[in-house]
Amino acid sequence: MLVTKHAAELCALLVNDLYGELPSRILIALLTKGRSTIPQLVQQTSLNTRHLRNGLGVLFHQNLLYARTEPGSKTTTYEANPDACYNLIRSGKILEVLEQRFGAAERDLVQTLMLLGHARIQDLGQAFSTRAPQANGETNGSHSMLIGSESRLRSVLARLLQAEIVEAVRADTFRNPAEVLDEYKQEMAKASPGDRISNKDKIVNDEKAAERYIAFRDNGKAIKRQLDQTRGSYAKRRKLQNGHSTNGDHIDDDDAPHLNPNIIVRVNYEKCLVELRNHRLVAFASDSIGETTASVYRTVLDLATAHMSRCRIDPLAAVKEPEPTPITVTTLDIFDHLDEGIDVARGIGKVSGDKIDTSSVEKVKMEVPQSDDESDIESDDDGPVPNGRSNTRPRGNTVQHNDEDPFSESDNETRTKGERPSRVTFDDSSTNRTARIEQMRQHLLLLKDSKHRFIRHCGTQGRGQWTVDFRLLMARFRDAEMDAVIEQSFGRHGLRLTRILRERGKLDEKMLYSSALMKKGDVQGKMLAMQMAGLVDIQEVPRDTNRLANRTLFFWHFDGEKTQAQLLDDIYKAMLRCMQTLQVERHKERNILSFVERKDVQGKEEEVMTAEHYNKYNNHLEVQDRLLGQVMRLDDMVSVLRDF
Amino acid sequence: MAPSAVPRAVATTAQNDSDAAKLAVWKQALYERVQESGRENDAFSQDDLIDLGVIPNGDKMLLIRVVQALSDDKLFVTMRDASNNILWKWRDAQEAHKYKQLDDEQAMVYSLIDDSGGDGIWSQTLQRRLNMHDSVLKTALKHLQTKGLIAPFKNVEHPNKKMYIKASIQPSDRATGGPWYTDQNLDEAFIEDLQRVVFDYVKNQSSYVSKHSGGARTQTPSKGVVKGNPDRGKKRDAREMNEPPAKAVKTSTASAPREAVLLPLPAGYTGYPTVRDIARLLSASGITNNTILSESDVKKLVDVLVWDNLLEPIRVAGKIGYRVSRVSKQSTDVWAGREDPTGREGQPESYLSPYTEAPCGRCPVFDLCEEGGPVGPSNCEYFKKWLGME
Repeated sequence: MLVTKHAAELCALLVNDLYGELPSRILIALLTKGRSTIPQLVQQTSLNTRHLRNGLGVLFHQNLLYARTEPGSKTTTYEANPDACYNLIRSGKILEVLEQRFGAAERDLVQTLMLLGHARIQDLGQAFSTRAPQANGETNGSHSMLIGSESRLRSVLARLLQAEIVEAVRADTFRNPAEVLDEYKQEMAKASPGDRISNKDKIVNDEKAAERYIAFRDNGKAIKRQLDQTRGSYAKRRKLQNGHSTNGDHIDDDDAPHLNPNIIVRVNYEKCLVELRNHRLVAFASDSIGETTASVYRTVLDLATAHMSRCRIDPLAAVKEPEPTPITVTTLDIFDHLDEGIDVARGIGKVSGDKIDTSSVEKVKMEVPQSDDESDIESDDDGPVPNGRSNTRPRGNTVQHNDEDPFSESDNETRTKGERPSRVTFDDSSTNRTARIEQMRQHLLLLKDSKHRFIRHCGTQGRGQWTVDFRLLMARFRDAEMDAVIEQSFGRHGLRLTRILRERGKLDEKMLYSSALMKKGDVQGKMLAMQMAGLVDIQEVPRDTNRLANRTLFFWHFDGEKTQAQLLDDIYKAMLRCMQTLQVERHKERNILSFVERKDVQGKEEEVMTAEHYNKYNNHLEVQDRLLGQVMRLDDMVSVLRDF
Repeated sequence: MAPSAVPRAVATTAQNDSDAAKLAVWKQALYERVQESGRENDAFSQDDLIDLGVIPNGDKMLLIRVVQALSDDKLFVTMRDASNNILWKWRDAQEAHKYKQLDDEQAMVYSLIDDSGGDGIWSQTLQRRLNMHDSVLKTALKHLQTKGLIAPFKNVEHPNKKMYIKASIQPSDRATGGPWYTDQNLDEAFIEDLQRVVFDYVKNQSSYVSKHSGGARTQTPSKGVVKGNPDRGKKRDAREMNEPPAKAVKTSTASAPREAVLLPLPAGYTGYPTVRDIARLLSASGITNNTILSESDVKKLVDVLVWDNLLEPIRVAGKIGYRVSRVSKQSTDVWAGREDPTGREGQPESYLSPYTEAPCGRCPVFDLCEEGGPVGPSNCEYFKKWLGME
């Protein structure tokens, strides 16, 4: 991955913050100079070899480096792994999401792994066994109960391994994947006979290399496959546990699997990103539709991504790896996993049944839409309509959308008169279940009908099958993020102009102001401001060879990719500034902070400190929260723009 | 038929008297026939004219004479197509009469202005096309103006150019800018107010007002939803009994009790307003007093709102309706008719980006900002203000 200046600085700052200055200095050298050997690093950093080895050791242990020892020579080259460095910032978020999804014990284990970088299973066992009896004054009283025994650790670890959150580490895990692929390609080229390689051969070779690369990459998952075989797949187990986090510590103990204690494990950030993406998408759905719908969506996403090991296709393996076949989930599946605390009757307005067009609602789209055009709006082709379902569906199901106080009942009555088959309900749990499924389906349909198209209705089995087209959805999400930035930097009019350009391509100025319903001068001013900011650009098309200004056409265009790249770098910079401001603040309050760090002060700050100092300390904490919170929110944007 | 055409034909030499009379008849017949063919702006080739069947035996010599006579009377306009074939177009008799009172230069100028139609023509273009002397053109224009044949006017697309248009016709919508222009100026206040009205209307029509206070899951619904055993049919583990109930999903944790909130309408709702509905509302409400908004004008207005991310199109049952974006975040107040620009009530709520909320996203000197530079994190004024440390 190529790194911009600000991204590099940010990485170094994060490492500095967490692991101290020495590793940070080495990291900067590695980021700026590229792959280096130890003698080269000595030159670049003016550190002595001993320090250097210590620093490299830290970086290596935290998986922040790529290292490679040439088989012939005995020198080792080091290279920074900027992605891993950046991921440091997400640790907290990942832990939070994992706790929600799996439970506190899993979170605890991952947290320990994050602290250690990577660790042998045996060592992990030791770490926990020494920690368990201590539990010294932890505010979290249940802490010691989380992972108390060796077998408990093994079962938790097995769960995480099966969920791909944790992966096994081998010696070659620390190699740069791009380099590995290159090496395979070279080997392939060497192996093929003849001097010149035809294009066709090259493609075949590339594919073979990619195949080998995929095998190399998925090596760490061998242990997962093994576990899947012996314990049954992860999804199955989850189903058995009815989607609940295992809070009790006795559930899996009996069948704790045997794990080779010499296996080294670490956190698999790629899978964590999938979990983070789900989290983010739920927030997005909550923002654009509503909270109840979002919680239904959460269940859909959890099911749809259970077997998804990465957010995007690995670009290195793109030639061989096909676009993953979308995972479909059925309505019944979703319903079985839905948290029964969610009141699905809420969050959707009531209308009378005759105002609902069932046929267009139930339209099934089997194919993945190719591009993200508005074809859905324009096209007239009606897909197959599942007639079975749409007929049996109670049209007056609005009765169940009863989030109103009883007084509005009469009003409701008149609005949906007659069309209420379920009015005569038997208080029977199966009827309730049907009603509840139907209400949940309403939320699913709402998600499908949104302009962001959160899910796609792709089949009729199991009361409807649903899938998520992540690639397109994320593209729309990225656009939404970009729109928000444009709107707030250049106003509603700026947003309008860029949206017109995005929709229509290159446009003459005249077209621009006539469709935007804006004054010519205003358009020119806005466009100029946006051109200065690098959002839009102008293209000159001369009408003849003279290139005179009045014989030239000028077209405005909007470069989405460039804008995104630039926005991303600006966000890095903004994050960097937040972190730096935090450092400045810490430096300002260094006296108080060093006082607070003392062992005899920790925990009883209020009693020990004077009121003035205590207030200052609290203010500082507030500032810190604010700055770190802002960094986290900016990271949300980075994730959307870059990783998801 | 032009009254002047007949006497002129009669006035030709005596021995061709009968000839001339015949010619006049043919002229009239051909002219009427061409008019009847009903193609106002269509050009006729020689073959087309013969095919009309007016000229006996397809006599080309005769046709030439007739057409020549019609051209002399300005009833036919001669032109050439791309492959240099000669074509003719007919002209209204009254128009022809106007042409006949003009001298050559004036006629040339007038014909160009005539051709430009409702869009008008720029005086410079006239000069370039005609290659006339400046003063000649000016006198011709003046003459035409005093005769009341042409009028100067302003085109909104080129407000600084001196344009001329035929006095007898209305400037085209393109030239006047359509209903959005008042006195050649874009009426921004009018547009803005209309947008608000449209937004409010669509918001009302595409959302459901729930007056139910409280969050999404704090209260048990009064009836209907979960009676009996909700878990029937679910595969549950017996051990689960010992466990506390499942944790709430974070996104749905209830916010503080709100007043009325807007809820989305169920999928497939057919009542989302279409462009036609909106146009009907606008004309019925009478806000647009003198201006008549066509459906395409309203479409333009709605398009702009869509581009502003305030509305979104949705296709239900074969027609495209519009609904408000981010419905649950919008307030229930009306946007239209609010004078106070600072009060955000009723204004559409759009998605806020975290980037622009913090100082850096709005920093005017962001490009200069560097540690150790004139501005940097250690001396940043904006951060100080944002963190409340002033």
